[in-house]
Amino acid sequence: MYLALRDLRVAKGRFALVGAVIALVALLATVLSGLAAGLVDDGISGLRALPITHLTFQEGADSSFSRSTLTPDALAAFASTDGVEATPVGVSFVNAASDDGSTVDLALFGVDPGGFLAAASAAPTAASAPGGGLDGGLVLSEDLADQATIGERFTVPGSDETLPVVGFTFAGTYGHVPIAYTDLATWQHLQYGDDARGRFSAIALQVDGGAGVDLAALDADAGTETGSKEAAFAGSPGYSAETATMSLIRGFLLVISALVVGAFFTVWTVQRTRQIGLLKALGASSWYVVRDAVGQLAVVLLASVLVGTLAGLGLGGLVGDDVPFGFAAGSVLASAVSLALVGMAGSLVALRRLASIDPVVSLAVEQ
Amino acid sequence: MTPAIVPREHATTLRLDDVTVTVPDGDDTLTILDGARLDVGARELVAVTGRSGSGKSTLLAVAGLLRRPDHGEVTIGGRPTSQLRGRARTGLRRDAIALVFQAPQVFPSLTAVQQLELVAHIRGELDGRARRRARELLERVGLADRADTLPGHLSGGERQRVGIARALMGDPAVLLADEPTASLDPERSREVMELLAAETHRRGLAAVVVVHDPTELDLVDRVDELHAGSLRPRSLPAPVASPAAAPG
Repeated sequence: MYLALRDLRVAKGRFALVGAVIALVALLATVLSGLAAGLVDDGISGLRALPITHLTFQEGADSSFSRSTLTPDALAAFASTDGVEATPVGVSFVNAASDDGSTVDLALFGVDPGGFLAAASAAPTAASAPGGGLDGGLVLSEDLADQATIGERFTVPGSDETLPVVGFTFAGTYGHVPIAYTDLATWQHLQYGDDARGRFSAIALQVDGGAGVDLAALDADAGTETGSKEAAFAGSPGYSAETATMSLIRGFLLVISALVVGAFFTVWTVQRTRQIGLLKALGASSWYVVRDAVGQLAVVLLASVLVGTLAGLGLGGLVGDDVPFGFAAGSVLASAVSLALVGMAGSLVALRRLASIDPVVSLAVEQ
Repeated sequence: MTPAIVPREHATTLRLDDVTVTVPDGDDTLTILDGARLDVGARELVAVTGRSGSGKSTLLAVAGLLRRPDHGEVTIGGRPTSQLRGRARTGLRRDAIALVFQAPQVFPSLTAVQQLELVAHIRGELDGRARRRARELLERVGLADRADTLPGHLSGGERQRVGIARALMGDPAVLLADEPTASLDPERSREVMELLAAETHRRGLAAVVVVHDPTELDLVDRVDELHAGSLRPRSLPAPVASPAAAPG
C-alpha cells in the first residue's frame, strides 16, 4: 500500500470523482432499501405484529385471506391438538363512512374475544377508551387517530351496520390498509349477513415447537394448508410484486456499481501501465502490484460506500410520514456489503490486466 | 539490506552469450539481436552505441531480465538465468539489477526520498535504516535539499539523478542505463554521466550505459557498438584536453 496510499493523497480529485459516483450509488441503494423495507412493512406490519407462529388457510388459498373460507370443523381439528393454540380470524377489506360523511379504508380483522388474538386488539394506547372492548365496536390502528375519535360511529356500506370506535391500538397495516379489529361475530355478520354459519377466513396458531406437532397431517385431515407467519406475508396484496420490483431495482444498481467501478479501474490501470511496468522493473512481483491496487480500490470503495450509506440514512430520516420508509439494519448492511463486493468483482478485469503488465514497457523497446 | 546474492569479486558480473532476439514483422521475422556477446566486470562502465533502432534497448531488456532471448544465455554473477522462472527471476532482478531509464521515470505521487524508499518497501525492508540510506543517497547525488519534493517540482536533470539514486538504493551488482541523458541539456548530461561513472567505480558495479552523445564516451571504460544485431568493440575517443592542461 506504499504507492497506493500516496496515489490516493496526490490524485485526490480523480479518486473523489469516482468515489462520489460510488457514494451516489450507495445512497440510492440505501434509500431504495429503506423504501423497500417501508413498503413491505406497510403491507404486512399488522400481520407481523400478531402473536402467532403459523396461519392456516383453506387448501389452495395461497396464503390469501380473501381466497380462504374455513368452518368451525377445521378449527376444532387444530384446537383439540396438544401443543397447538388455535383461534379463528376473519379478514376483509371495507370502506367505512363516518357520521360526517368522510370515508376510510379498513382491513377489518374479526377476532374471537375469548381467543389469544383478542390480546392484540386489547392493547390499547393511552387514547383508547377505558375498558373499551370489542363487542360490536371497532379498535382502530393508531395510524387513524387523526381521522377518527373514540365514540365516533362508522357505517359499513352493504350491511349498513354502524360500529362505534372504542379505542386505538398499534394494529399496523395489512395490504397497505390500516387494520381495525372487531369481534368475530360482528365481522361474520358484516361479511355473510345472517347466514354466517360460523365461517371465517383463517386459523391463527401458536404452535409449541417442542411438541412435535404434525401440521401436515392436520392439514390433510382438515383440508387446509398451514404455513409460517412469514410465509403468509406473500399472501398480502401486492407483497410479492413489490418485493420483486425492489429486488430487481437493487440488482440493477449492483450491476451499475460493478460496471462503474470496473470501468474506472480499467481506465486507471491503462493510464498507469508504464508506471506499473516501472514498479515491476524495480523488482515488484505481480502479487505486490495487485495487492497495492486492491488495497487502493478497497479504501476508495469502503469510504465511498460508507459515505453514501450514511447520507442515505440521513436522507431517509428527512422523509415525511407520507412515504413509507423503514430501516432494517441487516438490509442496509447487506446492501452496503453487496455494493463493496460487487465493486471489487467489477475490478477483476483491471486486476487481471495489472498482473499481466510486462515490466519491459518501462523501457523504450522495439516490439 | 539483504546482502546482494551476486558476488562482487566474480570476474565477469554480467555476461551475454550468443544472445538472439527476434520479433514478428508482418509475415516475416525481424532479428534484433543476432548472437550478441557482452562481458562486463565489476567496477567497469561499458558504453553501448548504435544507430536508432539497432536494438540497444532490447539488449538492456535482455540483460536486465525483463525479456527472454530466443536463444543464448544471460549470466549474472556466474549464475545462468535462462532456466529461471517466475519468482526466482523476479527475485534476481530485484536483488542484483538496477535500471536507469531513458526519460526520467518517477512515480508522480512520491517525493524524491519516497522514490528510494519504495525500493526498500518492495523488498520488505523499509525501516529506519533504509530511510536514512535513502537520504544519504540523495545527498550523494546532490539532492539532499530536494528530498521531500514531488517530481512535478523537480527539473529533468534532478529527476534523472533521483532515478540514479533509486537504482543504487537496492545495492545492485549490475547497473543498466538506457540513454540516461537523452532528455537533458549538455551540462546536465555530463553531470549525470560523471555520477554514473563515479558510482560504478566506487560501488564496484558492472554497468552498461546506452550512450547517444559521443562526447560522453570519454567517461566510460569501454565502448561496444551494436551493429546488425552484434556487439563489436569500438575505440575510445581521445581524452579531451582540459583548458588548464593546454599549453599556453
